[in-house]
Amino acid sequence: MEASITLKSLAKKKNNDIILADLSLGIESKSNHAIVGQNGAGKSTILKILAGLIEKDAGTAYINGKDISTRQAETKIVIGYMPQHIDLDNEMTIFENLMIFGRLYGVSNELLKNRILKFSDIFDYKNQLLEYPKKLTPGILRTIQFTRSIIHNPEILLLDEPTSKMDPKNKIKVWEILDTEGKDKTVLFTSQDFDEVEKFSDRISILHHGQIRMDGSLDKLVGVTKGLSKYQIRFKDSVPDGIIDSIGQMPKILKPEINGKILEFYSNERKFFFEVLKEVIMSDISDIDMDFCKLIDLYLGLIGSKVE
Amino acid sequence: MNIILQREYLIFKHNIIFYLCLWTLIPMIIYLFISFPFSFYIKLPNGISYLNWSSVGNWVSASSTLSFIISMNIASKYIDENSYSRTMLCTPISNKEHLLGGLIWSLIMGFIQLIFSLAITLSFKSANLFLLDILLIIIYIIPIIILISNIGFLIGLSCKGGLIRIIISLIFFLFIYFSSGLFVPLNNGLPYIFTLSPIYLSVQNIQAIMANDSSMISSSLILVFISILFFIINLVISFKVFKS
Repeated sequence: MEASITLKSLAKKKNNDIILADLSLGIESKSNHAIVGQNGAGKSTILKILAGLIEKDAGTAYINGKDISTRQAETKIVIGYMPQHIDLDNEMTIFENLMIFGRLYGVSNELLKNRILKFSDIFDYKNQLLEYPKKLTPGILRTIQFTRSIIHNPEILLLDEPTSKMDPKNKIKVWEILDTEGKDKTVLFTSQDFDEVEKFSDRISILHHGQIRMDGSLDKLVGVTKGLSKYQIRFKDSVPDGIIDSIGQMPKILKPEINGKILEFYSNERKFFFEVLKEVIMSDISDIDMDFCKLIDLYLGLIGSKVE
Repeated sequence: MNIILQREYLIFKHNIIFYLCLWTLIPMIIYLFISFPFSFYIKLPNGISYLNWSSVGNWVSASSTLSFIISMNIASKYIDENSYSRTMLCTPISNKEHLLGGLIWSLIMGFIQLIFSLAITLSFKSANLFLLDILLIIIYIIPIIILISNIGFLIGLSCKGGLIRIIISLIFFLFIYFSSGLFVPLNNGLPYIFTLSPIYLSVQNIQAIMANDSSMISSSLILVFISILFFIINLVISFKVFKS
């Protein structure tokens, strides 16, 4: 599939901190691409560079094959951008906030009115269209920002944590809209919600220290763990003494840890779990849990706090 | 650019009472706290009334102060990372249009302030003018407003902190108010450099109109030329600032 967005050796520094370092990435046309990473990993910076809000220090970025630095007008018109923070104008009503933004993209008044009414109906803020943003809750304001990003029906959507602060009902509506209206759009979004990322993205990039550490579909990413599973044994009273030392000696047992009354470890093969179970069978076990590695485990492993 | 103006108009519409108060109060405050007290101490030659003479100062200072504040406010919103103006920069509107929109809006507001100032000072009978004189005065004052709006935009774009902006504006206005002969006659002992200031020369021209003397348009043309230079500087700075 052709790439809608291409980043080549992108670099960005802020003061003396490296935000993005030699970052290259291709985002397929009409796909949902998620970027996950720690706070300050550079997720928002990528979106801001693509939206034309900040200048990159090095590298090139293309949107539909057009360089964003030299063909700004052509690239900006196909983009819809939703920032992470609430940036609505408190001196204008919600309706005016949306109207002005749509007009900046050259959308006719009539079409804008129809789209504003449509989305306000979906997100249930129709009665608040003539209110000022300062009177509304952050959750509703986020849905209005989402509406603003999609109001001109852009080809590419850059969404910075689009569902943060929203209630579960509106979160679902956002993804439903992206599923229907956004079917023929390229969606690049950042998120801290791993369940959402697993559910709604075709491809995921894990960003760490300004570089893409892993990139691919969820199956491909989880596939690299080769069936690695996370095991948990919960004890009634406490975890037996010296258990970490004894199971640490076992082959293919990764990262044994004690969290309160729970013994946690990772392994590719179930037989090693039974080996551990034999070690602790005499203790008072209250529960056993096993789960295949998820994106969150992979992410935590990559950023160095858990499985490597 | 029309959309930028439309946005400013919507904001204005929601604050119309505030602006009406501002347009009325600024010339009254200048009259009450500058012109009126100074009239007891400053005596002008040839029996010219100081209140009459200082009306020029009232018109120029009121209109330029307002347009300066508005253009600075518009510009400063662009450097606030969490503002609507900042996000507007991701739309296909060019920097030039953002700049022109902001400057034209501040010029419109300054112009309305000028009309209010003229009406108020004329109602105080501190100036007796014919319609043609008023038109000529407006033509002389508009280039001053344009230049000061441009300077306001420059300060708004360049200074990040609100406090720094206030201090710079205060120094700037003290300089403009008292180095251009707006409220204190500077004919005697004025350093030569001040006489070259196009704002000073324009003010002199307006005062000449008030005294039924002849005036020269050259100073206003110089002001327009300087304004264009400032606009170019603003445009260059905007390319750097809007993407920082």
